[in-house]
Amino acid sequence: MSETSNPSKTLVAIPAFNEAVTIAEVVGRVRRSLPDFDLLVVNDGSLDHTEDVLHGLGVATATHLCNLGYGRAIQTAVKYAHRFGYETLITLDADGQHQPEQVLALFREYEASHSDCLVGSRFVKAHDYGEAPFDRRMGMVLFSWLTFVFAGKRIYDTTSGLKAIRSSAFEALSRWHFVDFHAEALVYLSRLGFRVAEFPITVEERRAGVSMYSPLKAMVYPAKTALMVLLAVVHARYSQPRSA
Amino acid sequence: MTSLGALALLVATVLTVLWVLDLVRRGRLYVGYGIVLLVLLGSVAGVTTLAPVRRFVGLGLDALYPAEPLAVVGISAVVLLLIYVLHQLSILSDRVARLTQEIALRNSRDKGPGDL
Repeated sequence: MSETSNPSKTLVAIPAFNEAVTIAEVVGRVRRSLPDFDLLVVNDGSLDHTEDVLHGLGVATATHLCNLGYGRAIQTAVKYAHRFGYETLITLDADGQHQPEQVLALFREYEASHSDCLVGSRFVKAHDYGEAPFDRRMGMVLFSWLTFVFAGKRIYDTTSGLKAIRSSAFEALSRWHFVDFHAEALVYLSRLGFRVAEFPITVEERRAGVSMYSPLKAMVYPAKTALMVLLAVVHARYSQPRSA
Repeated sequence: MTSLGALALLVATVLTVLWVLDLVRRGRLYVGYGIVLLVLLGSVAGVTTLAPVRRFVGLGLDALYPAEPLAVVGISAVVLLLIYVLHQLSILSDRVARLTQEIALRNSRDKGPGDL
């Protein structure tokens, strides 16, 4: 498999759930910033008018008939990229926080570094979680250290939705189940021998919609992810490692 | 409960924990259910093996009496049934999710990939 990627064989995927307000602008910015890349929006069973907006935009859409959650939406994008022979999958959030203009820089670094999974990181530059609320900061520190302990490399922004993933990792990511494709996915890939790295990015404030983490989900998320990180270590022993 | 009984219950609990972890790992049990069951089983192990915890729970319930053998068997049956039902529910849920993904992929294919 080639280690460098052709832009025309690169897919940008945006998982969206109830993002009718922001999705048109995000799609427009991606189209302007990344004209050589293909685009897919995974509509994760939105209850608002997201589907209608997407239809009006004429963008390729994979629509879940019911809401499956962020992890499954990303997995659908991985399966799509795998099925249609893309060399690279780039995921970014639909809430307008990621700047599509930065994706090109991430893509160049991804090409140069030959990473299998390059994570757009808000914190790798400063090695600090800045002004994040205390509970979120604690969670990010915990998962960052878990990646260090179990993947052998500290990932500062395990919850980033901006990632570039090489086709060699598609099979592994399609096979197993993940909570939200965060720390557990990064540890799993690392344990299989895939090269996971970070690239500094900045993000904007969410413009509309609500976070996918309700107060209850925010409490359960650390337990679920921590358990899946531990199980990722075990499961990697039973899985096909990355071919050299 | 005798020491031997407590030991047997502890071993059974540890084996059940390993079973639950393996089910979660293989995607046969939703990780959220796994967390609930692990907390439940951890509580059983704590109450079984640690006398202060047992006393505390007993005081909290205001009913400090030894569990009768039939109650232990009954509760074990309920826990095993709970794991089995959640296991089956997780399998169904996983199949629905895969089906939903497949439908989404097939419908998107009809429109053609990446029409940017």
